[in-house]
This record gives sequence, structure tokens and C-alpha cells, in this order.
Amino acid sequence: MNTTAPKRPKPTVAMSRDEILAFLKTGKPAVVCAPDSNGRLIAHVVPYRIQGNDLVTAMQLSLSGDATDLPASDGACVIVDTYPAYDRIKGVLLRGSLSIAGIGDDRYAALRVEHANGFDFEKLKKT
Amino acid sequence: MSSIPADSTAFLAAHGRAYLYVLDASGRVRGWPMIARFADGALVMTSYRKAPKVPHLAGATRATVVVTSDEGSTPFRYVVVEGGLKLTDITPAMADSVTQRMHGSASVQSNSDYSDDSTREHFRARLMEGKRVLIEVGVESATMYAMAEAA
Repeated sequence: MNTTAPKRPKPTVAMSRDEILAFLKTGKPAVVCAPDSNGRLIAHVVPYRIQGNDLVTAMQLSLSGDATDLPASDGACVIVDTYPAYDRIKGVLLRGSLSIAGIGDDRYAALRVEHANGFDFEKLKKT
Repeated sequence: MSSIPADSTAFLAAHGRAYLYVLDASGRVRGWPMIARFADGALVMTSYRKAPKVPHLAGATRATVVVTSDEGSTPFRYVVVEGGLKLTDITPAMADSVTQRMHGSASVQSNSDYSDDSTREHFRARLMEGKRVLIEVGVESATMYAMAEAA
């Protein structure tokens, strides 16, 4: 007779790709960092827009204001998160390449996502 | 000796939301949201030693940290810090000093929601388990910016 109690699935805070996209559409600022040609890390906090529903190509980071020096790069990292309380932390980490497009006030960095992770601590309450 | 603008120093002392970035072995950026404290000329953070970020941090000698205004602040300001990165295993003997650096002393309340007594004691108890590492980024340069309005 098997007396072992059934194991509960390990709780996870991971987001699905749909959840990641939905979170990004809430419009929190993005904290972006990319290396320049000398390997120096250039970082800024920027607004962004989400175009379409393909996470790989959806994010366009505004390069207006102080963020004009953000370089094109194949090794960028973008973080978008919210921290209303410890048990309600939610966020997304994206890694991929940045290409610069647009002109003037509409200059932006298009992110091509190669790795995406999302975390939602509120999921721990639901398990 | 570095010279950090007074407004950046005051900002770092008053804000704890931080984003830590390093270059990995392939030359790509890795980053993580953190809670940081500005103490003794450095941004101080902690992490579980087994966290996925730690091998990347162990392989880096320099880091960039973005410290931001509180969520929803207007204008939304941030300070970008560059400096040398140091990792140290936190032993139980270090628990009090690290707690002091991250959360202040019980008698001196800072303007922070991380400094109440129960939070401080909970943090110290976790350090006593001996499973965490201290992450220090020396503030060699600090530049303050304001986020542009959304297009």
C-alpha cells in the first residue's frame, strides 16, 4: 500500500508569454541597459509602446529626452516591474537585440526578444 | 577619488528600488530588479547564494545600477551608478552589520518602508541562515536623469 501523501505541484511565479505581453501592456516604465561599442553599459528608464501581439517584436522603446544615447546592441536587457508590496511583486525580464529606428521625437529602439521571463508573486497566494 | 553630485547622493540615500546590470561571459547584459541601500559610498544589496543571478555576478568585476523614484512619481527621476562589483558570503557573524547597512539601526529610523522593526528582524534572521551573499557596487559615478514623457 502506498502511504505517501500525494505531492502538491511546486508553486511557481512564472508567467506565460500571454501573461508577459498583458503585463507589458500596462505601460510601466522600462529600465533598459545595453553595452556600447566600448563595452560600457548605457542604462535608462524609458516609456515604450507595444505594437501587436507578437512578444518577439512588440516592444518599441522611446529614445526621447535623456535616452538618446542608448546604443543599438545584440545584448540588451529590459526590465519592467511593479512593487506595490512584497507579495504583489510582478515583473518581466527581456533579453535580446536593440535596433534604432525613427527620426526626431519619434526615434525609438525596437527590441527583438530572444529570452523572456515573467514573475508574479501573487501566484503564490493562488496555489 | 570620485566626486558624486550632491543631488545624486541625496537621491540614492532616499530611494531603494534598483536594477542591477552586468555583462555576462558572452558580452551580453544581464539584469535583475533589486532592493538597494546606499551606505558607506556603495550600493548594498543581498541575494540567496543559489539564485541564478549569482554566477553571473561572480563572473563580473563591474556593474551598472539604476536607482529610481518611487513608482508613479512625477517627474520620474533615476540615477545611473557605475562602479566596481564585490560579492561576499554573508556569515552569521556579519548579520548585524549587514542588517544595519540595509535597514538602519533600531534607534535610527530612516525614511523607508524597509526600516520597521519586524522587517529588520525578519531580514536579520534570514542572514543568520548563512545562505545569502552581499552585493556591493562602489559608487564611482552617478548621473541623475528624468524619464521623458510617454510619446
